[in-house]
Amino acid sequence: MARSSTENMITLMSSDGEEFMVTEKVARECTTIRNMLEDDCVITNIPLPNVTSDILSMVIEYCMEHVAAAEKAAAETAEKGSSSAPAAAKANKDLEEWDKAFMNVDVYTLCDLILAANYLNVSGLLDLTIQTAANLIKGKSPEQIRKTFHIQNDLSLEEEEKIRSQTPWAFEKSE
Amino acid sequence: MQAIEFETPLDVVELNKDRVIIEENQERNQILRQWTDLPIEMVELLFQRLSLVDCLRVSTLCKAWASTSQSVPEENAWPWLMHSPDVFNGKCKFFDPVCGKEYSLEMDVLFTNQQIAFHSSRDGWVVMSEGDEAIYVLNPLTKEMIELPGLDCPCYNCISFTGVPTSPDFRAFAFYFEYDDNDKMVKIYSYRPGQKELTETGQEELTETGQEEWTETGQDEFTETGQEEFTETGQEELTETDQEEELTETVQEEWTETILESGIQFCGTINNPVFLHGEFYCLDRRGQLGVFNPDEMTWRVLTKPEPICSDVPCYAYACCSLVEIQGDLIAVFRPDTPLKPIEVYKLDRSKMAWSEVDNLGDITIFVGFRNSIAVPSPLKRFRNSIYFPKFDDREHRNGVFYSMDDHQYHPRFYGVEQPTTYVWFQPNKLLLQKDMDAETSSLQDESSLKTLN
Repeated sequence: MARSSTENMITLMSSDGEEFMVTEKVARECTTIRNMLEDDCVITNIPLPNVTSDILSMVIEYCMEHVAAAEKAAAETAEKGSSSAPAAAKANKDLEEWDKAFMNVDVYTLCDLILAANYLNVSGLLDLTIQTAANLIKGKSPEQIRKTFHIQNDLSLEEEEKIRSQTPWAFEKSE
Repeated sequence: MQAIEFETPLDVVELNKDRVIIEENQERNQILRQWTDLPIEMVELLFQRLSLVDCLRVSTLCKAWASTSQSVPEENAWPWLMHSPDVFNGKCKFFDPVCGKEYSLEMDVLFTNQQIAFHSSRDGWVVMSEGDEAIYVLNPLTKEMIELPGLDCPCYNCISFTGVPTSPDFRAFAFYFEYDDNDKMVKIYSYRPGQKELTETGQEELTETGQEEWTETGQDEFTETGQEEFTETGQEELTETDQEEELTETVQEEWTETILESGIQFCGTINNPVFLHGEFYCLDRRGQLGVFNPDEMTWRVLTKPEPICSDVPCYAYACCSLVEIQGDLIAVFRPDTPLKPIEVYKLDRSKMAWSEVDNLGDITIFVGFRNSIAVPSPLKRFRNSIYFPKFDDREHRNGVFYSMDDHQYHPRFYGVEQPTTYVWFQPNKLLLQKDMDAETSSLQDESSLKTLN
């Protein structure tokens, strides 16, 4: 991605001390950082103690892709006066495909991404990750969900039975 | 921000096995626990994208999430088709058209040698009749059941109710639209549970005396007493009952018949009235609205909106539906052939006139013979469509719907299965919490009280 030299660069520092240089525009995709920048415009180095370097690099990758897509769309609109509907639809489709490929991660990374997207307040990424998690749950039995997400069942048989007995129909096998 | 929705779930675990098994790594182990450490806000976000059943399953996964069943959003309870009761094994089927899944549930009340019919549903409760007389209001999910006094009138068009069936403010109403020469009369059978105040006799005796009878203040009496007096019969009857049954002074367990006339012809249908702003709105076969006020026991046929069709009943008796969504009234008229489009009208309240709707937008309507429900579309692919109580079983069970986009039935109109007995039923999550205070839910009803006209 080409960076214009006039653009402000921001340094984001992960919990394990790694530094990432990003354009202000990319950093602003994170509402949390945008608010910080608006409160204090001279800030250039932002520590993010809740996000590890591997997750932060993914969040940045997501933000860069979405900023680039938005810039491309804006440039096309400026060029032709108005954006053509088919081209816009194709761009949307491409971005959706990119998102889908980006979500090709394991469940632990997915969980970390949800927490990071929430902490940094990247609404698009939060939507994407939550939807991906929901897709992994849909239609599965509790056992299958536990297996998928590696969740230990710490409920006693009695406790589990009690919860299930409130809505037994939810646990009967569909026909 | 629009929701991203993939038709096929990404099976990330399969694709990234190498990244999953790093159990020796301490750092990873710490992260391992994090799914169950997700803040409740994140779980709530997750629940917004799951069906009611999926949410309830998630809440049984572990201790940390056991309390999350309280967070299941109300709107996840989209309508299910409760259908095909099997009286031999006491089971009834529930088809969730959104997930394409079917559940079956056993209920004691279904073990019977009588014929069962479902009439209406509201807030997770279903009105069911058994044989010619018996009427029950039941909550299939909590298995709560209330037996109403028998109503020996097989000719009522529809039954609906107000309030929570387990609460003292519950009232049931059966509507019968008279088909005389002028169709100007409506018969209302109303019922309210007796006040369960304890007298000296004690509760047990109160129940034993079993005043579970409809008051049959028949047509003959009506002719004798004349209409004005008749409307008050309910009150008089009550007084008489009190005198007769000393033990049960405070209990009134009966239906009262009231005959009301509006002076305007009204060709009632079999579809359920809509309860809105404290009144029942009934749709007739020409698109007129009749309004029954249960508090004042009054009936009026609105002169506006004007009928959509001015002829003698133009729409088929069983194919007219009235639904309510976000305070708007929507009328749906379904032709019995796929060659004609479905007609949808929304009541424009500023002009009090029907305006034809080309696009429902983010609304999905579930129509049926007796009851119909409109909800905000649960998923993008459900928007602007009308679901039928029918299935296509060619591959796996799929709901049949009519799309307002292309005015076509999907997958098809003919050659699909339709259960003979059914009702659209919206599971009410709040009612799953048995300790739920009935007052809270009636408060919610009242908060949206406004006058339509």
